[in-house]
Amino acid sequence: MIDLAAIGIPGGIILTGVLLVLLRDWRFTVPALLAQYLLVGLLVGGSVPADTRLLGFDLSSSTLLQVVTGLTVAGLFATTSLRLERARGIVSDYEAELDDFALAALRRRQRLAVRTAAENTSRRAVVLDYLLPGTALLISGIAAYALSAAYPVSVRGEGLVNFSFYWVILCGVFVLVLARDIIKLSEGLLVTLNGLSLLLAALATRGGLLVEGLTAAITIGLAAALSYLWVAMYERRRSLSLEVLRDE
Amino acid sequence: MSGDAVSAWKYYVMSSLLLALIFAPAIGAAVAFILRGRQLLAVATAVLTIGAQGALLAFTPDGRGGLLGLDLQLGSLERLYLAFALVPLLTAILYHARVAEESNALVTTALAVNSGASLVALSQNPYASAISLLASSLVLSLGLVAVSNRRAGEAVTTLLPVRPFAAALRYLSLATLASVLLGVALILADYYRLNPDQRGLLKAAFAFLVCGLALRLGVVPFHYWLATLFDPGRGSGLTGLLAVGSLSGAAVLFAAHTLAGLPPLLLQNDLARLATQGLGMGGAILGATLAYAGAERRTRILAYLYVADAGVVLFGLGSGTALGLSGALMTAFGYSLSVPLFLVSLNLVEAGASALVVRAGLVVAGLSLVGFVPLYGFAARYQLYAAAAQLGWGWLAALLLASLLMLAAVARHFTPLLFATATTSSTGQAASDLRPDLSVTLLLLVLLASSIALGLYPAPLTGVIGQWVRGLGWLL
Repeated sequence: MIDLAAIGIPGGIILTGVLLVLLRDWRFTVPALLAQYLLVGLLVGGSVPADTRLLGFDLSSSTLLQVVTGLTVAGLFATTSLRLERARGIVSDYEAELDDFALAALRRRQRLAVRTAAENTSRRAVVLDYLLPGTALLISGIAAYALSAAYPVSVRGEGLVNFSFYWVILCGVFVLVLARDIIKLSEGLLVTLNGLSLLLAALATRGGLLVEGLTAAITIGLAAALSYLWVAMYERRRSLSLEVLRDE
Repeated sequence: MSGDAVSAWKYYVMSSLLLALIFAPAIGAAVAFILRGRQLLAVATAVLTIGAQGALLAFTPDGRGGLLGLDLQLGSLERLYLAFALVPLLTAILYHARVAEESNALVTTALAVNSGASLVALSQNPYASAISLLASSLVLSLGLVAVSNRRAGEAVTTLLPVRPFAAALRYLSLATLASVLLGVALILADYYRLNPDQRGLLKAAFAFLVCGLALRLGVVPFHYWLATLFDPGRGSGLTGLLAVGSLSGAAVLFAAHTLAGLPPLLLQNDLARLATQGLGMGGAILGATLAYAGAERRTRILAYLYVADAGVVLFGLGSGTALGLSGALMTAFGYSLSVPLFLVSLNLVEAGASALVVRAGLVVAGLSLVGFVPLYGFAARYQLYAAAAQLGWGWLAALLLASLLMLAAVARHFTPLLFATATTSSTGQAASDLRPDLSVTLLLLVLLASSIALGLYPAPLTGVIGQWVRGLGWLL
């Protein structure tokens, strides 16, 4: 009989990696990130003994921390994205204070960013939107398979767990490399950090509650800092595209 | 009282003192954040905090303590680093208060970074140290994009640049990736301790450690972030000062603690050690070439010089010799003197200051970084030369080449500034003769005197570092 937990959880982690690399809309990528956190939490829970009882369930405190971190990170990203979407067309305090020259310069930069984005979309849409991420996934798959065969990290010899560790790290790196906006860049950073928890799960070790707590705190702090950067950047240039940063 | 009760009491007192060393700057940062609209009060808070931390450092004896499973230890090496780390903090705050007003988060950022650096130095848990390094970088990134001080009711009417965002994002990304690499290295090293027959784990742990460290120090080809921190498009590069002056030393101390905790990492990895030496030396030569050939702003050239020096530090760490490790620690700790002196002198000269102390600061900082006799840099570099000679004459020749290229870069880019007339700034435009504030002049004088005095008589430093390194016992 197929062990759903042994296949389903690593399989789910692999699927969330695919979604995070391929998709660009935060409405899909943020839930995928949340799902990845929850699945990694379940995997961690399976590898270390339960030490907490909550709502009648025996849980590992590592799982609980992972779930709380995932919910907080996803909540932060989702509310910030939603706020920025609603801010479209509304004049910010910063814009209201600008003089005519600065306002004209801001509009010019916005037009340039929109034009560049439009040109990129029409010329290289297929390459940028599908071909590159698709190739990245293919490379990640081959590399993760080769690495998991050559350097297995799972102490219990589970092939899928080995594969999913390398997969998550590689997906995180590719999300970072292929990011065209600050939201994807942020997701890439958090996916890469998630790889650490997977490694701990694969090795069935624990860094101690203090280390796990500090890791969760710094992950949430990182997500909060990144959300702040989204808002601050959007207020100044009305765009989250990394093209805006490259222009100056 | 029984002996056990006395020991327990001593442990609690020691724990409180060590925690105070970590949390005093953090509390100072919180107070400065609340007072961020009132610059004078925020700066006064910072000065008080620095004074308190200095007093704690002077009067806390060596010993161990801890809280909630976090073991802390203060020894001579950690005390030395923490004393050095106060210099960039004080410089940044003084520069902000007396020369050029930076963002309103500068004081908070500088104090928070100092708190993180203290945790890195005192923590016996390498995971907590790695996380603390990331947290410090996170705070620095936020400080980079924080808004400038504004008087009440005053509006910002010009378009704010977004280059600081690019610098912050770059730094944040690199710090996160470096932490992931360091975290993987620590996990694999821990797992090796449980399974010493798996030698492959040791090699992988060492590779991850070196890559993480190279990213943190800014060794070529992981260096671009460092140039943008010194020249982020706004401000005076104080973020670069804190990142290199405080955090590079903390990163090297973290690496030294990690290597000391697992000797086989260096001893049983001959090929990886050789690769690390090659990466470090190659990075040093390439970094020095970038500095020499660069035609960019001088703050960026300054950053490339530190990129080159980071390669030298990595070479020392990977050399596996007592002299190399000692030289790497001395060099990285010395950044706390050389970065403030170099950056402040450069900024003042570029702004039109022609005072002798400012020009002397530029000369001494440049020559000390290159390792010129009789300055602090030479005392550190001499040990690295000796380590290179121990490994082979080829390494010594390569290190000399890197140093010569760095010297050529300093001569090419910074010498013209020394001969610029008082009424002509470095950009060629007319400028008035800027007279630095008395407190800034005093700071420069102290930094100058320290660089020369520690170069002439480095025994106290080499004694502390050498004793720690000799205590390891297993280095070549």
